[in-house]
Amino acid sequence: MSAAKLARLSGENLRRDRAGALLSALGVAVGVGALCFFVALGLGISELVRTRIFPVDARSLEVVPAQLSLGSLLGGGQLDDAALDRLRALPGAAHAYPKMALRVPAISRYDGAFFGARLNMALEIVMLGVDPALMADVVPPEKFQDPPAGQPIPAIASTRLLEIYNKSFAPSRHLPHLGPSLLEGFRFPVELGVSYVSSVNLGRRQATQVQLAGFSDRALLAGITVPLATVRRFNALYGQDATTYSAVTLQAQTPDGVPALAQSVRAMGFSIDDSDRQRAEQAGAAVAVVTSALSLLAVLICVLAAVNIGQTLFAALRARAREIGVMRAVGATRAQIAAMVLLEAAQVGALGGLCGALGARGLALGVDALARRVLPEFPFQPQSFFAFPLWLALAGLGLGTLAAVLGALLPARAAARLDPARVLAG
Amino acid sequence: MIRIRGLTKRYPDGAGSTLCVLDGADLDVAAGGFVALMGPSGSGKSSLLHVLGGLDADFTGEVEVLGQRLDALGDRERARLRNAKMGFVFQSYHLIPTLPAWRNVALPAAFSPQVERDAEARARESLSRVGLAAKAHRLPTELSGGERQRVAIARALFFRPPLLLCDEPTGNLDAQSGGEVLALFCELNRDGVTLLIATHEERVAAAASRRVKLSAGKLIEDLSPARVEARP
Repeated sequence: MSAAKLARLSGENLRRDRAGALLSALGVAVGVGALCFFVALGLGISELVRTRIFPVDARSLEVVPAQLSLGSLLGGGQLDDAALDRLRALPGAAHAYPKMALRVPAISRYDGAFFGARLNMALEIVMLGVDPALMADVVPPEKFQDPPAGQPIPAIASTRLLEIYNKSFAPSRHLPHLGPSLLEGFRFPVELGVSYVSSVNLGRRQATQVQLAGFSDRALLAGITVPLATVRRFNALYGQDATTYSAVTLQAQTPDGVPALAQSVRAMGFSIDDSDRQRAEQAGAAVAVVTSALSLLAVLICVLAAVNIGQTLFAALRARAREIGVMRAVGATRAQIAAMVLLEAAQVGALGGLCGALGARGLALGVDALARRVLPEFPFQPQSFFAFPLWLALAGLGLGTLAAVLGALLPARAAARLDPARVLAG
Repeated sequence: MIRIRGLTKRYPDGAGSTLCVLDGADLDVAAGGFVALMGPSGSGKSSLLHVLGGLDADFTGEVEVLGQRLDALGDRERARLRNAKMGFVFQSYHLIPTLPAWRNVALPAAFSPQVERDAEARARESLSRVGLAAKAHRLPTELSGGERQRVAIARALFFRPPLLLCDEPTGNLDAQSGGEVLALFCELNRDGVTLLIATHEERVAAAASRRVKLSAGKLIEDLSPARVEARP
């Protein structure tokens, strides 16, 4: 007997008890729907954390001098050009981009028009110089260079900082929402050698202009990222260290090569600053724990649905005992009877799984629409809180089918063991 | 066609003991035979049919049907034998109430390794044989008792089996319907189908070529003078 014949027969059996089949499918749909909904929510939030709140480049390592090492005590362990060359030569390393922090205090005072509003602002400026090649995807390297005298310094700001400005800072101060393209070209003054928070006096002040050239996730979050040569020049100007780097962004040839590369870096006496990665992992772990707890609840609903299917099938079998006896009399084997019952359950489960997955998608769309209407804007607000990859829908379908089939195992066994002689004689 | 030697069938009697309904029974039925199986209720007629049909494998003794030793066959082989070479007819018809007549008749096709493509045509042919071609799409509830039993016979004949096992096939029918069904059995027997019919009815027994009585678990050939004289 072919599977198609069995499926047809099972389908006919289900159609005879549509109400019972639909109720059983509803139980599966609720369980699978809840599971898909919570998993999609977890995936969506995880993606948000990974790509927007704590974006981490899987190929990159942030190499920093060891906080305490024998090398540093003896004057070694410094990230200078020689160390940079050694890092570049490590097996598995593709690129090494040096970074140098501005070791001079700097402030910005702005009082003027700001895209149709008036802005009066004074703040401490943190500046990081980077190899222009690191930002090549944002600003062409030839435009991200230390400018000649009198020209503004090109700067790249953090995409996340712009998000925080737009969703949190701007609304509370009635400032306009700004997009990256609008801000590119915006200039603001910077004064070097002076600080609002420190009483250090470096003897001279130097005023300059900074011009925003672009936005990047790799830019300094609470500060501005400028060409390495500019920072090197300022540090030298104020007699600060202009030869050692604060950090080096080391890119592996492949993401899989990162652990080995990190091991080599540590063997050289340097440390890896993976605080961003750790924050992303911690946030991801918290999301995973909550998602798992809710998913467990949904799985329990699926188990209940499976038990319900088992009970329904047992009841149906009692009513259909003679029918099964007739099927045995006309040539059905025990295995075929068991397969027929399991197929009935599988069809109910698949229907429930499909409805559950579609229902979860619909509910997620509804929640997103409601969130857009009800929630105030906040930083990193996603278009959707949910991620619905195809595998999730297929997994929902599979889980529904599996739960139903597992629930039907005992009824199928009982049906296969029905004594046709007894039920037909009765 | 059928060869039984020393068939013993016991049932638990619910009091921790067993009830023996067939006690070393012997029987031979040749191909084309028409055997009426007589005996009071509970004498083991249905049990014998179930054993012969491979529905009950819990027995001792030798049972050979259509050249196959049933005690040596597994569930799958017995099912295949029932599907292709035997037909069952029951007193209560046992039709599936939600399926039209032709689907009931075609039920054996669902469990056959053969392709089901011509199942409807074959079911209609089978219904024609019992005179119900015009009612192929009627549900069992839309048919009379006699018609239902004829649908059940059509189902038993679906794969043109050489052997029909019938358990009180006229027991639920009125005289006229019972007569029509009996006439159908006689016609089938003339066409070469071997019939083994468990019955209480004298007219059914009278139509059979042999009458076998079940008494104290044994199968006894009825060789009463009238019967012997009537034998060909």
